[in-house]
This record gives sequence, structure tokens and C-alpha cells, in this order.
Amino acid sequence: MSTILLSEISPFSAFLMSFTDGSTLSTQIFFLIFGFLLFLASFLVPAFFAINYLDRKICGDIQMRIGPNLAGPHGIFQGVADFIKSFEKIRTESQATSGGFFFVTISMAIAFLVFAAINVPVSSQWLYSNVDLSALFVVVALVVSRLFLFWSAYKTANAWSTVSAFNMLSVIGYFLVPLTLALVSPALLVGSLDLQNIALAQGGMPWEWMVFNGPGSFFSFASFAVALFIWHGRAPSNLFFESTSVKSEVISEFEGRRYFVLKQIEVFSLFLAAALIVTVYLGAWRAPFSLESFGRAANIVEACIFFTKTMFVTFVMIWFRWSMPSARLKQISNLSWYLLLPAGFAGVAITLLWLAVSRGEGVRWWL
Amino acid sequence: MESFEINVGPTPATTSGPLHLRVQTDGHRVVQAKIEAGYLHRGMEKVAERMTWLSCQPYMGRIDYVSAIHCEHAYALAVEKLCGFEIPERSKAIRVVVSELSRIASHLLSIAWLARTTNASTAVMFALRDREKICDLFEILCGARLTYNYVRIGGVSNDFTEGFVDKTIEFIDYIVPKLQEYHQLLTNNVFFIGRLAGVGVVSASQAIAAGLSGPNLRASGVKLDKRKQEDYEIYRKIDFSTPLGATSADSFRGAVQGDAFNRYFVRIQEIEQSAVIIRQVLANVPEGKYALTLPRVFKVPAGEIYVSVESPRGTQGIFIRSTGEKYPDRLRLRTPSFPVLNILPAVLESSTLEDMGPLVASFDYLPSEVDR
Amino acid sequence: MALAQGRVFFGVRKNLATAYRVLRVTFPYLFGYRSEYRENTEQYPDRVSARMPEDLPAKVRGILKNDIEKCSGCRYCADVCPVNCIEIETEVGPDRSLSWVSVFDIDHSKCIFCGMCVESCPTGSLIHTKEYEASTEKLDSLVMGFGRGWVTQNMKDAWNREQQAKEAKAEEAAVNELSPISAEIKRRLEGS
Repeated sequence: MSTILLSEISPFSAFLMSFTDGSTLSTQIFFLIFGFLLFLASFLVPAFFAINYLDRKICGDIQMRIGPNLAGPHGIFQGVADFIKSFEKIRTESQATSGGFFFVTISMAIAFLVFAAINVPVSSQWLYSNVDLSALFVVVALVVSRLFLFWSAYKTANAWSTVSAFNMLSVIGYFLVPLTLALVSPALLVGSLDLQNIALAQGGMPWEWMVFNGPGSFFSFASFAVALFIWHGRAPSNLFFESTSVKSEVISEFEGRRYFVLKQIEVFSLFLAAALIVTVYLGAWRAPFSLESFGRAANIVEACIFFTKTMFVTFVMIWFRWSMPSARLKQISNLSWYLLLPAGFAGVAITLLWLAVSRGEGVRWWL
Repeated sequence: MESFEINVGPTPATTSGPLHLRVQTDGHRVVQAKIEAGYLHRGMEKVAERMTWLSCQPYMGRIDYVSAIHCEHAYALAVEKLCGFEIPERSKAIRVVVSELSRIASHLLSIAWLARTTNASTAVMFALRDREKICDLFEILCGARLTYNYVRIGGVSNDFTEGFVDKTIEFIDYIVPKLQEYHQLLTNNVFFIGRLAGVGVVSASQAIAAGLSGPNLRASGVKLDKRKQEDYEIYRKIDFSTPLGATSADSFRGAVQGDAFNRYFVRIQEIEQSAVIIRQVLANVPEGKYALTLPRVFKVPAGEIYVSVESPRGTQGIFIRSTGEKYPDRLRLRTPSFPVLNILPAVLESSTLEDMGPLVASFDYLPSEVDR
Repeated sequence: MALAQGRVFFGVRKNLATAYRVLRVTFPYLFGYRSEYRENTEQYPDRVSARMPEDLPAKVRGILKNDIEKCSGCRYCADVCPVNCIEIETEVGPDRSLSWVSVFDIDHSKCIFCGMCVESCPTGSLIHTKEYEASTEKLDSLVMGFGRGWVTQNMKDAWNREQQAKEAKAEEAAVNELSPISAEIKRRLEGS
């Protein structure tokens, strides 16, 4: 009874607990906490190391520079080195940014990002949190995290970060509707807004991915991808994570270790954006071949597939960031109102038509 | 929302040098802009009064350190005219070649800074890479990469060194197709055009009233090029065109004549034209001496003269007054970036905060020229 | 604000075209399969640079060097220097010559490396080397002295002693030297 409850709350913890024989309440709580830490440490932290390194290396390559090359061969441990270095930072706080308020808001900003991240399915059983309507939950968590970040930036009373903070608020306002609209098509086709269900409804082969599942999905995919490209806040929409001569980053008032931790929010947003695109539209962790013979090790293969796809999308996003100039807020908002919104509506409309035509058998019409 | 004052600078990422703007904003829009210049004042004009005519030469290269040839050139022309010297044909041709090379280098740097304000970091690096190649060329020719001290009174300081002509032709063959990269990255880039089109529009009459010159003026549609207007060196014998700002008939881009995008577009087309000039001149450089032999300390006859050349930023003029001594009596520099200060507040007052960076950078404002 | 449908699609085409063009331009640089797409920078000074000062072109205006043996103390270089960074003092030398350059200091913290001094040197003693790495920890170390030093009494005495030794040797040689007639008589007497 209780194990079924745990597998509903946290399939990952249930998976870990299945290696042992116990099922008492204390064991469950232990595996709940242990699973959370393990999930973060083994899936999210290496992603940070990889993205921090990739960002600088790709930047160096495109700009005909060397890039990091001292920490490890070709500098692949640069992310680890930065992480270790962050512990050496001397803790100095300015009066304007010290106090419990900032601790609470920053922690909440990071916490909601983590809440969003743990809902992303890494493999068929390695899914830490399985809330209902998890796709919508992820979007809402992202928004709330940004709102906490805005609040803390606004309270620092630094004029230049305030400009960035309001830019961030504008992006939330402009892109919330296209984001959720783009989730309607998969929901119609799959019948559920859970990320794991959407992942299960796709197949391993490229033509079985959601993006090709009916003509309307393509519009929705385009709208979703562009919205997430702009949402995660790097070029061409460097509106709040970059400094120019008239604005500074939202986090520029924070110093030392806090700055490093907050900078990871940018990396986190990049990773989450890529992970969402992959999960909802590009086939998530589904393998193109059968994994029956692997047993429990099938999860490793699926996790590898998921991370490969996510890293590929991340690579494209980093490539974009170092090649494109940044756009003005007006151009971004025009993009949202005049391009993404119509595309999203078109996607939903065509999907509805498609479902009507195929008599409700939208999913896996190729079978 | 009440007015809010923002300091931009003194070291903003828009110019290669200090520029201090005090900007009053009303939310997003700029209400008033005040400029404080003078951070790079070095007293060049005063120093010139105690240096001999020859010793003054290295200072001229430091007025406009991005394209050092042109100020040296203006100074040399002024003194030669006052003394009545007639320089050999070969040195005229050499001067044209290095002037145009310096022009390409300066335009590349201005494109780099403009791209930097719009965060197109790749274009910055590419432009600087190409500028490095020109610096290497100058290193072969005269030994310095930035402050050349090459154009002298009576000619140039030395003839073409070995390998210079070949490497220059190699460079020209390299840069002209490489400009396609810039066109793909910047000129045809919807985001870049969107940032610059319609920003900071300066009409032709405004430009003339303010005293703008060079690419800034030509982008507003006024066809004024000192190389064609005044007869100096051998420009009259060379076949080249001066690009003008595209009119609003260029609907693909949606740019307006006199806006920031056209100022950039004129510059990148001028790079191609400079390449054309260099190729023509290097195809047949006249033989002869590369400079007149002058006495070590010479005196310039008394008189006044004003001479101007076309520098990459506009009209670089020098006024000299001599009283027959070893030293100049008065040396006055008319630099092309100074009139930009006339028009910058007016243009800034109708722009927004986001546009300020690219706007200032599009004028190719060089503080060292203004502050001397 | 109504936006014609055509305008939206034109915008889509432009945006996609831009994205494609930009990515296509930067793509080769990611993989660097030709030398023109690889690094243009090098790590200096931690890794040994590929270019050494000897590789620089012949005309490079590096740190100055004066060959004091050739220097005539004419002061042309100090006169033409735009920043007055060359200090020259001459005096009568211990050998009573007039071209003893006691002090020839070039203050490289002021030098602008314009090359006017090298051009004006009539004897060719002042040259540019190709060295450019001249960082020091003290500003005074940047003043490079090439002079022979102030003339001291010791130097004069040493020169005088040298001259006396030379004269003594010459006298001795002269004493032993016979006139041509005496040399002929001596030769005949010794029965050659």
C-alpha cells in the first residue's frame, strides 16, 4: 500500500527503494530525501558542469580564441573548477543586499526552479516528482521563480538592475500565453498534461516524436521552441541576464558566492528550456529500439538518450547566443504578439481539425 | 514617473575612449542628454608650440590613434604647402596606399564597436582579427602597429620594405570576399537591422548645419568627399566611388536615410572602395624618390594655412601659423568627431535607453580626436 | 493594430533566413577544419609563444640601444626627441678627446618609440632592437644608461700611466734604433 503511494509521489525514490526489502515509513522518508539529493547530484549538477564548460568553449571557438584549456584536457573540468572555486569566495555582503529578505527570496527563486526541474522525466522510472498536470506545473514554477528573482532585484534599489528586472517581467508577460498555448496541442493529442504521459505517448524513432504527430503539432513546436529560446534569457533576447551600458544584470547587486549561485539560474534556465523542448516535442527518453532485455538497466540507456538530446538542443542554443546580436524589447514583444500567438492558435486549431478528421486517433496514426 | 538621471560612462562600451553622458530619462525614453567631453585632453595643440616642426610629427599620429596616417598626412600637407615643397610622385602614391589601408582598419574597428553594442560578439572578433592583419602589414612597413609616424614632411619616412606590396595585395584579395561574412552576420541580419534602422535619424540639412562630415554626412545623403573635392595626392587619377546612404527605397531593410544603419552601411561599402583604390595604385606605382631630403632643423616661412584631408571619420583639418621660427606659432586641429557633439544631444533626445548604445557607436565618435 | 498576414509571413521568412545565414557563417569556426577557422590567439606568457622577437620584421621599433663606441655625442637624437627622454652629457675625456659621452640615458618610461632619434643618428650608433618585453618592478629600472660614466681622477691617472708606458717603450725602441748610416757601418763591422 505505502510503496504504491511512494511510487506515485516519487517514482525515483520508489525505484531506489526497490533495491532494498524494506517498506516502512521511515525507509520511505529516507529514500525520499536520499532520492532527491541523488537526483540533483547525478543529473542536474553534471549538466551544469557541462553547460558552463560548453558555453565558454563554444564562445572561444566561434571567436577564434582558445577558450578554457587548463582544467583538464581541453579544459573539460572547467565547470568543476569554478564550482570548487566558489567555495573559496570570501563572504562579503553589502548592506543593501544583506538580511533575511534576500535569503528568503533567493532561496524561493532557486527552490521553484528545482521544483520545476524535478518534474522532468529522465527515463521511464527516473522521475523524481510526478505531480498532476506537470507540464503546466513546470511553466508555473518557472514563472514564480522569475517573480521571486524580480522581487529580490527590485528590492536592491539599484537603478540599473531594476531596468533588467522590469525587462524580465515583460518577458514573463509576453511569453506566458504562447508557452501554455503550445502545450495545448500535445494535451489534446495525448489526453494528459503530465510530462511522463506525454513522453510515454511518443516513440523512439524521429517520426514518432510529438513534433511530427499531426500537422498542428509542428506549429505548436515552433511556437514552443521560439518562446523557450527567448524565455531563457540569452541572445537574441539578452534583456535581463546581460549588462550593457544602461542596464546591468538582475543579479549584479549580489556578490561572491551568491552571485555564482544566481548565475547558475541562467544555466538552469537554459538546461530546463532545452529539457522541456525535448520532453514535450522531441521524444524525451524514448529509445528507438526495444529495451526489454535490459531490465532495470534500461533506465541508464534512456537517461543517456535524454541527455544526448538535451545537450544537442543546448548546443544549438549556445551556438545561437554567440552568433546573434541581441534584439530590443519591442522586437521581442512583436515576435510574441504577431508571430507566436497566431502560430499557437493555428497549432491548436489544426490539431483539433486533425483529431476530428482522424476520428480521435491522433496519436500514433502511423500504426 | 519622474525624471531619472543616468550616467553613461565615462567609459561606456560604445566608443573606444571615454565619453561621459548625463542622461535624463522618463521611464524608457531619453528626455535630455548632456555631454561631458575632455577626459582625454592631452594638450596637443599647446605641446606643438614648443616642438620643432619635425618633432611635432609623432604627436599627430596620436590625435586619432585608430587611423594614425590621416592626421600625420594633414600635417605634412600643411607644412609642405606653406614651404612650397613639391613632393615626388612616388611618395604621393605611397601615401595614398597607406591612407586607404588605415581607412580600412578604422572602419573595421568602428564596425567592431557597433557590433559590440548590439552584443553580436562574433562580428567583433572577426573585425578585430582582420584589423590585426592590417596592423601586421604596417609593422612590416614602418615598424609600429598603431602609431605609425610614417608620413613625413616631404614624403614618407621610408620606401616600401620587402614583402609589403605582396602582402598587401594578399590582404586585399582576402578581405574583399571576407566582407561577405560581415554581410551575412550583420548587414542582412534582421535583428541587427531592427536595432539600427530608423534610430538616430539625421536629415541632410541637420547634418550640414551641425558640421558633420565623412560617412556620417554621406549616410544622410549628402555627397561630399574631400578626396574628390580637393586635389591632393593622386586621388584625381583613381577611379572609385563614394557610397551614399541608401534611401528608403531600400525596402528590404526598411532603413531610412541618415539613420544608424546607413552610417554602418556606408562604412562597410567604403572598405570595398578602399580596396579598389589600393589595387589600382599598387598596379602601377611610379618610380622615383620616396621623400625630399630636408635639413635637420628647418624653418618654415611665415604664413598661415589650413589644409584638410578625408579621414575615416570625416574632414580632418589642420591650421598652421608660422612666424618663421623653428617652432610652429599655432597649430589648430579641426577633428571630424567634434561636430558630432553638436548633434548628439538632439539625436539622443528622441531615442530610448536601449538605442543609446548603438546610436552613439554608429557615429564613430572618437574621444581622443575631440579632446586632443 | 492590424497586421497584414503577408507581413507576418515575410517576417518569418526574414527571421529564418537570418538565423540560417548567421549559423552558417559561424559553423566552420566551431569545428576549425581549415586553418583560417582555428584560433587566432595564443596563451601568453604561460605557454611558449610561437613567435619570438627574432621573427619580427626588420623595421620593428623596439627598445633602444646605443653603441657608445660609435656614438659621437652630437645630441641630434636628444634634440629631435618629442618627449625629451634622452639625456646626454659630454665632457672632455681622460684621453683629452672631445667625444667622451659620460651620460647617455634613455628613459623608456617616457619614450614613445617613434624612431625619430634612430633616424637622426649620423653615425648609426643608436638603433632599435627587437625586444619589447621590458616590464620591470621599479620605474627607475626603465632608465637605461649607455654612457661611459663621468670622468674621474682615477681614469685620468690610468690613461696618463698608459701614455707614459707607451712613451717609455717608444723611447726605448728609439734609443736602440740607429740611423741608417750607423746601421750600415754596424752591419759591415759584424761582417755580414
